[in-house]
Amino acid sequence: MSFGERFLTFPDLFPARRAGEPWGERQVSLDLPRGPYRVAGLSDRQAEAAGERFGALCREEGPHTEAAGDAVRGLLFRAPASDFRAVDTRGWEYAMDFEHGESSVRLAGLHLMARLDWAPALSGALWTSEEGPLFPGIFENFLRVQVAYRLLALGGVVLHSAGIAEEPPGKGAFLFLGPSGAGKTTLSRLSEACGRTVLSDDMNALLPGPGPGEPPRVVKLPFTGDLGERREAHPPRPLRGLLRIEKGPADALRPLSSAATLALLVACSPFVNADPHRQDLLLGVLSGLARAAPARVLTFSLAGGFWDILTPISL
Amino acid sequence: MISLATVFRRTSSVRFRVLDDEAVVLNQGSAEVLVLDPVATRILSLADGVAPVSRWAQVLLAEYDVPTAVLERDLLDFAEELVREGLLESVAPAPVSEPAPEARP
Repeated sequence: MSFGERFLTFPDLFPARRAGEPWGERQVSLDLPRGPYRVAGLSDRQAEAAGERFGALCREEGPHTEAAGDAVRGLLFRAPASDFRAVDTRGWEYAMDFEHGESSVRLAGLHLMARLDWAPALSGALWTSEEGPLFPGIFENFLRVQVAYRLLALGGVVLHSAGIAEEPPGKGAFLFLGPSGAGKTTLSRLSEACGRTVLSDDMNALLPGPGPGEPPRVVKLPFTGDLGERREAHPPRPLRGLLRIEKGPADALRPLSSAATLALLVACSPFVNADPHRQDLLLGVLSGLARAAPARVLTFSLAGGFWDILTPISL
Repeated sequence: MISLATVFRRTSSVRFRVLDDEAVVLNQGSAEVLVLDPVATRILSLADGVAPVSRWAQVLLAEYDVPTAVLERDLLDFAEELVREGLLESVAPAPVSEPAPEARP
């Protein structure tokens, strides 16, 4: 099946450039890692929905506010509903379609078409037919991809992971990684029950340490599954541990080699790990993070006692 | 047909990174990630598009205490597996130049 066929009525008519009819004149600025991310062209309903979804992370800006030079820009355009196929999603795991190029990435999904362009700075455009209840999810899916590419270009990565923090923030955070079904949400619930803060049970950002010899920083993203709030700003936290998780009858830790850590990080880097034009960059970035943050394998039981063996850990 | 004379190279879609003697191999086509142990890493690094499998055997015989016949058989099996996985491809052997005809008196 070729690019976009699952979702688009006319994949051949995919927009060739960032142009179209804006939904409206509202502009929002999102406080996401290595941002701000400024998106213009929203309707009143869309701007309000974005504010509702992302809370304090989303700030309204005037329609003519000039984006700062280092902001990531985005534009929102109207697309007719007839451009999108009706998809029966029962029993189906949603994954967007991607087509990767050296200077652009195209994506298609439920009620959305989008593209990222580098000229040379990263900018994005989103076409959708929705401004109602479906819009926040569409908008978030677009932002997830844009943030993943932005962070990679700056030496960081978005990881499919559960991020669990100890308070205060200076005590750091742990990232738990594993494929779908490995137990990220279960582990998050167990952690929450014993007083830890769930940053997100779905996606978290990992950025290089602020100075030589300092551990990488975990940054909360407002991209959550079942757990983790998405409306408040959180400070970056030093990484305490990187753990590949698996369920088992008893809690245990064992080491993971540097190469296995790198492979784990690659497998858990959504969107960018399938981009052939950026895999060298990804391997370089993740090799650095794997050396700075050696991982372990955590076997955890549903008794929830695994924190007793994690708490002494530090990088 | 793979033999000791076959020359292999890593396919262009393979990204290869060595960390502490182990390799991480990322296959662009499938976005699949593999971790190779130190021996497999050494073998993949020898697949340079120039040295035939027999040369790999010479190099590894100097590093590992293993009978020649066993090593050669294992190398051929491993190379075949890597070809199946899309990580290696054989390189067409350079044409053998014919000896120049003798000058006639």
